[in-house]
Amino acid sequence: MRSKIIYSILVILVLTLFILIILNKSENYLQSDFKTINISKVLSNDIDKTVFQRATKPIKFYFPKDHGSHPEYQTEWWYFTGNLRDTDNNRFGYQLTFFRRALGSKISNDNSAWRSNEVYFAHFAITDVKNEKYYSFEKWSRAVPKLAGSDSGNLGVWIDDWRVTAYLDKGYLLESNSENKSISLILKQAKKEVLNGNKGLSQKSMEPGNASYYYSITRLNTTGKIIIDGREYVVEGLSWFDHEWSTSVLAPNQTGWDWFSIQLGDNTDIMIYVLRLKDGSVDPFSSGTFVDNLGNAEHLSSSDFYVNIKDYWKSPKTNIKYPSKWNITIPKHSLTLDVEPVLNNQEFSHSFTYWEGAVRVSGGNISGEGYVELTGY
Amino acid sequence: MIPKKSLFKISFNHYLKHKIQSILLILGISLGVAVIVAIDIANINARKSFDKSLRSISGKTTHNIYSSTAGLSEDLYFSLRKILGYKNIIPIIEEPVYLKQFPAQQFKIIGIDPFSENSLLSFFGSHDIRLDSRSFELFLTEPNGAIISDQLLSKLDLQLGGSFFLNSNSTQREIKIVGVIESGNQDTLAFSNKILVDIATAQELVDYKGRLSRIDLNLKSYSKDKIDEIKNFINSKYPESYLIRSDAVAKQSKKLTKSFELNLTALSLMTLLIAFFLIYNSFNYSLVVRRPLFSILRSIGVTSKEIFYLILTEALIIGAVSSVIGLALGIILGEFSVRLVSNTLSNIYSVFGQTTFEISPLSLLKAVAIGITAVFSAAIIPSLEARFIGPVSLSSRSYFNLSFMRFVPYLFLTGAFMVSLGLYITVFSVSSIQITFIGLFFIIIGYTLLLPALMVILGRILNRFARPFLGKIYLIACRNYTGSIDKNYIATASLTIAVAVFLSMTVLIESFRSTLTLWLENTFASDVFISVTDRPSENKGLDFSLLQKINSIDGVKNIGYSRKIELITDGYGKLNLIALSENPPINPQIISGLIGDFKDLDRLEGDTVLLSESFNNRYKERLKDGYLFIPTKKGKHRFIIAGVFSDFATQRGTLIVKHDLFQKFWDDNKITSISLDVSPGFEIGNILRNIRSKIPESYNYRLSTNRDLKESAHKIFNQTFAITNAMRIIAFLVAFFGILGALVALELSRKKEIGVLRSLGVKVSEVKNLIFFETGIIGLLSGILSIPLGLIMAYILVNVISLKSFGWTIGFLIKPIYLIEAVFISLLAAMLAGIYPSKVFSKIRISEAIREE
Repeated sequence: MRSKIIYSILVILVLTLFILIILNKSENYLQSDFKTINISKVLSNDIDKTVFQRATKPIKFYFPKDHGSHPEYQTEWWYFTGNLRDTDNNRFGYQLTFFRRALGSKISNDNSAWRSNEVYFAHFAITDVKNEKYYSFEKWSRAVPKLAGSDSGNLGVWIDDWRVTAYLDKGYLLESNSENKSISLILKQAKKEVLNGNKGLSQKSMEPGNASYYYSITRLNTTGKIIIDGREYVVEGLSWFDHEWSTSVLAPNQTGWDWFSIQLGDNTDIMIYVLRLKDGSVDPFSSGTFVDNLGNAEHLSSSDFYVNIKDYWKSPKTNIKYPSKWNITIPKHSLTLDVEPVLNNQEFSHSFTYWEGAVRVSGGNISGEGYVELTGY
Repeated sequence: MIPKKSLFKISFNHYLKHKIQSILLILGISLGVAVIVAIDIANINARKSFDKSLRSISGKTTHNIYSSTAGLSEDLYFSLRKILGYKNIIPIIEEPVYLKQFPAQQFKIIGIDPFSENSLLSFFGSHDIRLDSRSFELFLTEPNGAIISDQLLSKLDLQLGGSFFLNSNSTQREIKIVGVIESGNQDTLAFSNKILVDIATAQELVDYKGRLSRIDLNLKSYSKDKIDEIKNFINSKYPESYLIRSDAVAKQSKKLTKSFELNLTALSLMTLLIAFFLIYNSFNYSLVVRRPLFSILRSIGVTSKEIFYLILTEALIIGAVSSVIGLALGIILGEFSVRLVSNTLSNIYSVFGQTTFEISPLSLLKAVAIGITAVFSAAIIPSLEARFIGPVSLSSRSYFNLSFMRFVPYLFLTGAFMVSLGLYITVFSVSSIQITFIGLFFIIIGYTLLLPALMVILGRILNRFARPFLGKIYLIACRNYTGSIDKNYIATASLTIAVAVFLSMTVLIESFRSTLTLWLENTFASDVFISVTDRPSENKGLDFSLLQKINSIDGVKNIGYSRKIELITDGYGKLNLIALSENPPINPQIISGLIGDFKDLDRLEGDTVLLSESFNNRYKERLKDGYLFIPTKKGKHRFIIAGVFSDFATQRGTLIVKHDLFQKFWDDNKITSISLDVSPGFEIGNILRNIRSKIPESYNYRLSTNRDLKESAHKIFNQTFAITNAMRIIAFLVAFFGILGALVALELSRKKEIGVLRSLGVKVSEVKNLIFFETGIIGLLSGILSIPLGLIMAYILVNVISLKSFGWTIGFLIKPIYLIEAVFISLLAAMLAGIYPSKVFSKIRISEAIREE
C-alpha cells in the first residue's frame, strides 16, 4: 500500500514539474488575437491649442477657395451624401466622406517623400434599398500626395482611388471604389453655398474656440453610375455637401449629435443638428439652417425646432440602440415632417461606429428625402 | 506470500545502501536526457535564427520584390500599388544598424507604413504593441521615433520615452522610444533585435530617401497570367528589380537549417548511445549484484512474475526521476549550447542568432520518453532473466558466463553483417545524409556485437604474452578477463564506443583544422588587409578615393580590392557576390572547372563566374549545364560557370566575378576590402599607422596583418567547433562514469573472491594492485578495440558527412598520436575507476568477505 502511495506521489511530482516548466518557458503556439487599436481614441481628444487655429470669430468665406483644405485647423471633413434613383426607379443612397486630421507635431524639412504630420481617412457607403443591402468601407492613409491629400484652392480630396475633383464651374466629380462596389457621379450645384451658424461660425458649446467653420451646398443635381458586383445602374438624384473645419472637441457633458439634412419637393432644404447632453437633454447650442427655394439661408436656433423620436432600432452587430423614426416640427415655417430611414441597418461600423443613412421625408402635402447621422450612441 | 510493500523495501534498500552506485545510475540517465534536451533547445534556437524576417503584415506575403542594386525605387511601389488596386502590397525598409553597447549583435531598422494594409493598424493589432495616441503620433512625425521589444528595452536599461544611440552609415543617430512590444507573442523573439520605425523615419535614418529595401506582396488570389503581367511591368520599367516567390527563398534557407540541425541531432543521438550504455551498465549491475538476493526471494516463494514487475517498476521510477533531473540539467546546458550554436551560426551561416531561447513542451516530453525507454530497455533483459531462470542458477556465477559464451559466435556474425551493411550504405553508395547517419549507427551497433569475440581473442593473446612476465596474482587477473566476458562485455563496449567517439571527434577536428590552415595560407596571401567589418555593421563600404590615398603611401605595393554584396534569389536563396580586382585580397583556390587560377579568368570568353564548393555541391543538378542566371541591374543575366573554389568562410552560396564585370552589371561603387603588400625594407608598423591616418574616424573598419587574420580565423574555428569539442569532453566523461559504475559493481561483486585471496595471505597492497591491474586490462583492451571503430567513424565523418552536410572537402588527417591518445584515455578512465573499489577492499575484513549468506 505504501509503495503505491510513494509511486503516485512521485508521478504527481513529475507531472507538476512538467506543468511548471510548460507554463514558464513553453513556446506560445497560439495565434495572437487581432487587437485593433481604437482609432478614435488614438486620434481624438488631444487638441493642441498652441499649434492650431481655433474658430473663434466669423470670417469671410471665398469660394471656390474655401472648398479647399484649411491646414491651420486640426480637423476637417468634406462630406457628400445623396439619394439617387435608377431608370427603374430603384432607390439608392450613398455617402462619401473625407476626413483630414493633423497630428500637431511639427515636422522638419526632411526629404523623405513619406513624411507627413497629417492623416486622411474616408468613409464610403452605398445603400441599395430594393435589395435591402448596405455596404460600407473605410480607408486610411498618411498625407503624402501620391497616397492621399487635398487641394488648397478648390474642392479636391483623395485617398488612393477615392476622390472628389472640381469639374468645370460648380461641378464636382465623385469616384469611389471598393470590393466591387463603386460610384462615379457628377454633381452640379443647384444652389449657392450656405453658411451655417453665425455666418459660418458654428458654435458647439460655451467655450470660445469650441466651434467650427461650417458651410453646406444643400442641393446638387447628381447623375452617374453605381456599380454593385458587376451590375451597373445609371442613376440620378440629389446630393448634399457639408464642409466643416475646426480645432475643437465635444464639451465634457456632450455625448454626441443627431444631424438631419432634408431636401423637400418644393425646393427647400433644411439642416438641423441636435447636440445631446449626457443627462439626456438637448443642448441649447443645437442649431440648424433653413434654405428657401431661392437659396436664402436662415439660421435656426434650438428653440426653433423640435425633434421627437418615434421609434428605435437595435443593431444586431453592435447591439447599439439608435432612434429610427422622427417627427420634426419647425413652427416658424409651419412644418411638421415625418422622417424615416429607407433601410434600418445603415450603421457604419469600422474604426468608429455611427449611424448614417438615407431617409424619406413626408409631411402633409410635402415629401422629400434626406440623410441622417447619429453619433455618440 | 510476501506483500508488495516489503518487496519494494527490500529492493530499494539496495539503492540506499549503495549510494554511490545509485547516484551514478541517476547521473547517467540524467546526463543522457540532458544532452538531448540541450541539443533540442539549440536546434529550436537555430531554426528561429534562420528565420530572420519579421512576419509581414497579416503574415500573408507570397512574393517579394528586391533590387540587385542597393534599394529599389519607391516609384515602383506607387505604380504597382495602383496596378494592384491599392491593396495586397506593402513597402518595407530593413537595413542593418550597429549599437556600440552590443558590438557582437546584429540589429536592424525596420521601416513600415502602418497604413498600407486595408485594415488599419492591423500590423499593430497583430503584434502586441503598447501604443497610445501620443506614441502613434510621435511614431509618424518624429524624425527618430521607434518601437522596440521589451527585451531590448530592459537590455538598454531604459523606459518608454527614453533614447539611445545607434550607428547607421558611419553616422551616429539618436533614437527615441515611443512604443514597446510586449513579449509572450511568438513573434517577439524576432523583434528582439529589431528597431521598428515609420517608413519616413527609416528612409531618413539609413539614407534611403526615394528607395525601399523591398516590397512585400500578397498575390495569392492572382492568376499566373496576372502575375506574369506584373513581372513584365517590373522588368520593363525597373529592370534592376525582380519579383520572386517568398517561399522559394525560405525553402533555400531551410536547406541550410536542415543540414545544421541534422548534424546537431546526430551528435545528440551519438551521445545518447553512449549514455545508453552508461544507463544499461549502471542498471544492469545493480541487478547483477542483487542476483543472490533475487534467488533467495525466489526460493522463499516470490513468483518470477512479481520479480519481473518489481524490476520494471524500479526502472520506471528511476527513469522518471532521473529524466526530470535530466530535464533541469538540460535546460541549464541549453543556455550554453545556445551560445555555442549562435557562434557557429554567425560564423558559418552569416546568421546572427538570438541569444534567448525557448523550450517546447514537446521536446521535453520527447527527452523524458527517451530517458525512460533507455532505462526500460536496460531493465528488460535482466528482468526477463530473473523471470525465467530458476532460483539455483541465479546464485551460480559461472552459469551466466557459459550461457553468454554460447551466443558470442552469433553475435559476431550479426555484428559483421551490420558493419558491412553500414559501410556499404555510408561509403559505397550514394545516399541522403539521413541514410548516411543511419548507416553510421549500424556500424557502431554492429561493432558492439563484434566485441565479445574480439575480446576473447585479445584476452587470449594477452594471456599468452603476459605469462612470462607477470607474477601469479596478475595471471589470475588475465584469466579473469576471459572467464567473465559477460560481465566485462558491457563495460568494455561502453568504454570502447566512448573512446571511439572521442577518437573520431579528434580526427575530425584536426583534419578540419589542417585543411583550414592550408586554405588560409593559400587564399589570403597579402601582408595587410583593410575591411569594412561586414558582421554587425552599418557601414556600406569604403570609398574608391581611399584606394588612391593608401596606394600613395611609401612602401605599399600590389594593392587590390574587393566588393561584397548580398543577392536574394528564389532559385538559390541568399547569395554573396564578391567582385575581385587584380591582385585581389582573396586568392580563390580553384578545385575544379575550366581554369586553374583566378588570373586565367581573363582568357575565357563571355561573362564568367566562380562558385563556392558548398554552393556547387548543393545545387549540382541545376548547375550541371555550366551556367546560371543571376539578377543584375539589367535584369536576369546568364553567367558561365568557370570554376569551383574552396570556401570555408561560410555556408552561404558565394559567387566570385572580376570587378570590371561587376561594374558592368551592378550599380555599386564602394569597396568592401583592400589588400596590399609591404615592400621589403619598410616597417609594417609604420605602414599600418600611415594607413590609419588616411581613413576617416567615422568608418567602422578592421585593419589587420596577415597574421592577425589567420589568428582570428583560428579563433573563429575554435568557437565554431566548440560544440564538437564539448562532445569530446562529454564522451570522455561518460566513458569515465560508465566505466566507473561498471567496474565498481564488478569489483564489489567479487567480495568473496577477494576475501579468499586475502585469507590465503595476499597482502592488502597486492590486492590493490590486482584491482588496478584488472581495470587496467579492461582499459587497455577497450582502447585498442576502439581504434578500428574510431577510424571508421572518423573517415565517415570527414569524407562522407562533412561533404554531404556542408559540401566541404576536407583532408583526412591521422597522426599516430591520436591513436595513442585514445588508448591512453581509455586506460586512464579505467584506472581512475579502479581507485574506489581498491579503497573499499583495503578496508574490508576477511571474515566479512568470506561469509556466506
